[in-house]
Amino acid sequence: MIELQPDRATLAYHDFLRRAKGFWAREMYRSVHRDFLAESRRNGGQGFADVDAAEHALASQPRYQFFAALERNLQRLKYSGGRGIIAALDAQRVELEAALDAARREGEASGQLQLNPAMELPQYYRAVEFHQHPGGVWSDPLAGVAYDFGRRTTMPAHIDPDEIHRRFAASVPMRGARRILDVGCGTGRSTLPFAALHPAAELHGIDLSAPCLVRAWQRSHAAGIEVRWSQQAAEHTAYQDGYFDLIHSTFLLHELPRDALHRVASDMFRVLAPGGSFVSLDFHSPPGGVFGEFIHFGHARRNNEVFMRSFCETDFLRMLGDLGYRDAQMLPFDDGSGVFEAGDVPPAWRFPSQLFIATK
Amino acid sequence: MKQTFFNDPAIDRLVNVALALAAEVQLLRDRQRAMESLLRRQGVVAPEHIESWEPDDAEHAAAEAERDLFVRNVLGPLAEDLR
Repeated sequence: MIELQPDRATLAYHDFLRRAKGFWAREMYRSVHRDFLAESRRNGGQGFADVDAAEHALASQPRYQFFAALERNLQRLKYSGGRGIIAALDAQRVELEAALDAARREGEASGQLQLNPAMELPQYYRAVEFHQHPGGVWSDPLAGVAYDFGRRTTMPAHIDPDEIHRRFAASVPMRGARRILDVGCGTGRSTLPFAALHPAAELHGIDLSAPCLVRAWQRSHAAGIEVRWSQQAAEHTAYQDGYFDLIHSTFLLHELPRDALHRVASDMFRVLAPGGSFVSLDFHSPPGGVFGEFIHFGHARRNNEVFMRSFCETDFLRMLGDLGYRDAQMLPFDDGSGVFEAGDVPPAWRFPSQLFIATK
Repeated sequence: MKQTFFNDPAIDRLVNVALALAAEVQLLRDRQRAMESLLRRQGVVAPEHIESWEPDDAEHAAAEAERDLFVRNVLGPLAEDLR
């Protein structure tokens, strides 16, 4: 499977960004927490009424300003600039595009990769450069390669980004599913760990991004695992009613505006068999009270995660219940940095990962 | 979408200059460590030879181009639109 192979200098540059992000996630995060507590005490000892009051009070604090500036710019530098991922892709573009085009043709000929070039992508998806990925994860044929390289520093250094997918698959109570759908499968990293745990299952993965799906096919092909990848909108899939007994998503829901979220959850209910499970790993209900929200909503703003806050402010369990799901639960998820209950302030920056489980 | 974080937007630009510079220093150290180690292991260059080194014409031209690129990378944030 072809990968971006930046030169030594570019790798050293990205190593710097990764280490700088580690410093940001520990030392800078903790210093902002101290300033937050000090400001909060100054506020009559009552704490902040809400996250917006905290933001207002901290906005003029130099350490928070540096924290915020580094959060945005370390991610931006990863992609843009002379040693960013986009420049590295351009240096290898001819070779990468040829390899991916060959993979696409091979995947389509195998019947395991179904792209739909005529599909109209949703406006919210086209308009937002999620996590500051220039052009989004769909507009460049090399976007999937860029995503695979960039994800190494999306999580702070103390969290292994591959391990998360294995942990999620292992945390799903259902075993021995017959038909499994990964909705918003990206480059397939979240899909394959389910194969080992459900060896007899027919695996499906859908995504809006054709470049990511080509990568996903390459990944399953290299692993010798059969997956039916197809380019579809999760809001209205082509599957027949009740087709799947397990549907899962990873880090998808927070990218959706509320009306799209409702349509996705609704279509997943339609294609789920009675008794089947819908499970999602996503970011919701940050632990640590107002401080947790202050950090998470600030991240959303600074990293172009425009629907992250609205997802947190949505009672998703209630939405699932209203759609007919039974026993909808949200459980704290251990991403490798531990389990945090609502009142805990994590000792280092982390995404507020939660496990959603619901039954049809 | 422009985002600034400091009372004076000049500081936003300076932060980016400092980040770019620090990254360049790290990658230079990486390369230099590799070079000096290889040269020493192969008995080609003793550390004192580096002090007295003079480039030939081709080396000079390559170094000029590299220094231009270095300045563009490091000082680029001063000129670019803040995003």
